[in-house]
Amino acid sequence: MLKQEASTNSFDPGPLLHALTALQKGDFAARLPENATGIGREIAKAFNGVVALNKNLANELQRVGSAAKADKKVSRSKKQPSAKGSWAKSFESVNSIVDTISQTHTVEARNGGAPRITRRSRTAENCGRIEERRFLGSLAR
Amino acid sequence: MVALKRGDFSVRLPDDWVGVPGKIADTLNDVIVRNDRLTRELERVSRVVGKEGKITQRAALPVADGSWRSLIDSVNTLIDDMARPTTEMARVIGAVANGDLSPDDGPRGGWPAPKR
Repeated sequence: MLKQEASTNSFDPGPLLHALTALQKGDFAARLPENATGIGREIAKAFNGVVALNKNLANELQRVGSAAKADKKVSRSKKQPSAKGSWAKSFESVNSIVDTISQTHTVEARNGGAPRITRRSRTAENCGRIEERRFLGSLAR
Repeated sequence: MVALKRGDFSVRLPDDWVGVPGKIADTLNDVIVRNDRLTRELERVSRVVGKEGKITQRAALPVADGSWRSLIDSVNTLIDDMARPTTEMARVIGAVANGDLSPDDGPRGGWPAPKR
């Protein structure tokens, strides 16, 4: 099918293979020029969208990771309108981890540490109970 | 490619193409598999670490280089940070329970001094 499309639209698959290989190797800056026409333009737009989503996910994880490491307030990821399906699941997982961190540090603050994260969620409340049980269990032992 | 962009990580190109289209198909399929594994791994760690309290669990991808590795490292940094208060608490309480009342600096300068 790709062969047929390529022949009817004069699509050069070389740059696509090059960009895909770069993405495979972890280069989230790889992009295809969108100035082509026909199928080439559609492929370029789709590819660039995929790489941008990977880049956004990496940036979000780096942002919350750096904030957590530097003892700064960690906030949830902003809504990503372009993230659908499994992309949305990935971003939601990041937020779930952020919620857990928030709740953990809230418990830490309650037990004497310095508060730095205040955001909470229903999920985080469950996590807090787990942390508290773990803490009380440690005391009992 | 459009399906992948829409978040459908179950799509694959045929694996019987040859030449450049074959290489494109193989590479794209590999990228999709990596994204699929990453999503599953993020879901797994967010579940086992966040909801089940298994704070020793970490994220991993079979083959991760470049930004793929950075993604996994970032997740694990987050988990490390989340787990640190609990593991430190357990460590200090364990030391006190064993009769060790000596000052302890800990990994981040220790716990704040108790108010008197």
